Amino acid sequence: MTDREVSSEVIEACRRGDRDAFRVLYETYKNRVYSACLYFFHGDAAEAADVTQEVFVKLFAVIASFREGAAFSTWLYRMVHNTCVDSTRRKKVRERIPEIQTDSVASHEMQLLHSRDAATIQQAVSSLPPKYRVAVLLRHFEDFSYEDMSKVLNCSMGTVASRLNRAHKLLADVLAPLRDRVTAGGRDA
Amino acid sequence: MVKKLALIFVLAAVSVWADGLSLTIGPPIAAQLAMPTKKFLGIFAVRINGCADVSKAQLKAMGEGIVDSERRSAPTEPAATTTPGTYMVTQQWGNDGKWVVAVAATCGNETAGAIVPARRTNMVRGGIQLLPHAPTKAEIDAALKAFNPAQ
Amino acid sequence: MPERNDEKFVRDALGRLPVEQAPDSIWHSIQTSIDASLDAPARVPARPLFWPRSRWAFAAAAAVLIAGIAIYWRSANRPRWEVKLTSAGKTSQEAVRAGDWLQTDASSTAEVRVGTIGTVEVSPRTRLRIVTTRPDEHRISLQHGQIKATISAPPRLFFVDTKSATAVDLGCQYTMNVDDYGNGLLNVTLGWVAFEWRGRESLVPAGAQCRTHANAGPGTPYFEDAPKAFINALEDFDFSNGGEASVRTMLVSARQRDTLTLWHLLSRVAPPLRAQVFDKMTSFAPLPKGLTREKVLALDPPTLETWKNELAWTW
Repeated sequence: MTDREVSSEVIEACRRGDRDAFRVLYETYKNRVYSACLYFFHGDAAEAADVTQEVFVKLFAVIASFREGAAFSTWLYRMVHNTCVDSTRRKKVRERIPEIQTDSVASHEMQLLHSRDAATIQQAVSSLPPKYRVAVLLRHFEDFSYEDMSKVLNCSMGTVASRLNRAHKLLADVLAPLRDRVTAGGRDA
Repeated sequence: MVKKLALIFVLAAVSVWADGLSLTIGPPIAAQLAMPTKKFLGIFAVRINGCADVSKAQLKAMGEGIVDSERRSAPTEPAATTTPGTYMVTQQWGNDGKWVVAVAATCGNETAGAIVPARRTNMVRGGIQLLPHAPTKAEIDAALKAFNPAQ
Repeated sequence: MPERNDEKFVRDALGRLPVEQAPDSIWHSIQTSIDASLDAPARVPARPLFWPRSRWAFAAAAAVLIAGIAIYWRSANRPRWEVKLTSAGKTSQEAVRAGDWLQTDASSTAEVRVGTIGTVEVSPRTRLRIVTTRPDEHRISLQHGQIKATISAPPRLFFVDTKSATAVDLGCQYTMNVDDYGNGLLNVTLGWVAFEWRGRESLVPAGAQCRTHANAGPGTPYFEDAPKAFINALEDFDFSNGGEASVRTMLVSARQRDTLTLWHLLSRVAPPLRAQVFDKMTSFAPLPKGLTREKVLALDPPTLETWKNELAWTW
């Protein structure tokens, strides 16, 4: 994700309280924010929707404090991360970690996940402890650099590297049955 | 014989006499689909078939019931839908006693009718009679006698 | 180097996770929350009355007072729904607004008056949130539990979101039951309901039910009085990958009225099976004039729509 996705004019208008500009900002980021929340909350669409709403409501309230020159997406995703963590703590959600199924349920019309592999991958991500889950989502779903991740997570790059290293090992073990298929196929377009 | 007529079980809602005017009786959803933009509740749908100019056809419906051994009648105005010839019949009487709805349609010189047992805002499929004429008093009385809402 | 291989593998794997579409309802909720925050009464600190030293100070104080009254008045007139709570035999009246949660315990129930358009009866052990209370949209989000909605407004004004489907009121009375994981059952007693999820719609008329599962969305509607074998086979098809075997079981046990289900199945099965479903449907009643088998099998929308409207007479 880069700041090419929304112009500085839009951000500036949002800072002035322009509701139309805020709608533009929302439309630009809504799907990625929602998806990140969705995968953080084990595919729980209601929770993801709640947190997405909370993020953007907060964003509207505090965007005036956004410093020009800083990376907007980094600032936004810090808010996403903090809101996800806060939500988990506040609601004292006993995380229901789904069992990993390599033969997950699918029907002709399943629209949440496009393939059995995607379902398995999502479940594997869900099985990670929250700090590792956030790290892999920021790195590989949102394409953040180590430096930007450190700003989002408010930790050192060394800590980012350590969390990612551990997360990669855990996921690689869990997803081992898919390795050949995923590696051969590469990233989806 | 009358009982057999009263207990005719119409497996298909469509009933077409050899030629001429006839009625189709169906669940409310059939009329609701003919009027999707309007909140439309009723006990059954009626369609007039075999009328050359259905815009000129007339449809009447009357609730006929027995409440506490007393015979009663309650007129009900069939509500037109955006599909010509398709109407919704609504309940205009209480839930006490037992009731059937006598329906009569005219188109030019032709007439067709139906008797539809009703129970708590729903029609009762078994017991629907489709007739080549407006229901007579004798037919209505026989249908009421034969109808057991508890079944 | 194992770490690098693992990183590439994980990167490729996560690349397969799709970017999901955020539901439209989120924006509505955001707008409502922002409006609510802007309408919040001005916090005027409590102070003893004082006589301003200058007329400008007096004018400023008066302006603040008038603005505060106006803001508070506007706040007091934001749409709200009245709630009658019953617990342990005692009744109380509350009011809820967009963004509020409503939760009943094992011994309490609630009746929510949805604006002027109807009521929602809330069973024990139910949790829901009021999402929108606008005149053009009344929306709640049912997290778990059971509600019974009776709505008298024009169609498509009242919505119930769950984790796996949205029930769109089209003129009706219905019960919806959802568990903690988002699995649910919609049961329509009057009128009809459209059960929607990510572009897929199921039409549920009075006397029919429709299940919904988290991660799969709404299943296929069926009449409550359908044969047990038919219902079981349908559940296998919808949620357990029952495939061809379950469809065959349905075709064997289907009655004429079950064309409600079969009509929905036309667009949910592969073409070879579709032809068999079609044949079964036409064994009950011929295809209406003007419609062709080819167009049905091609899932031509106007053809399917016309056929549905005709089939409805036999439901």
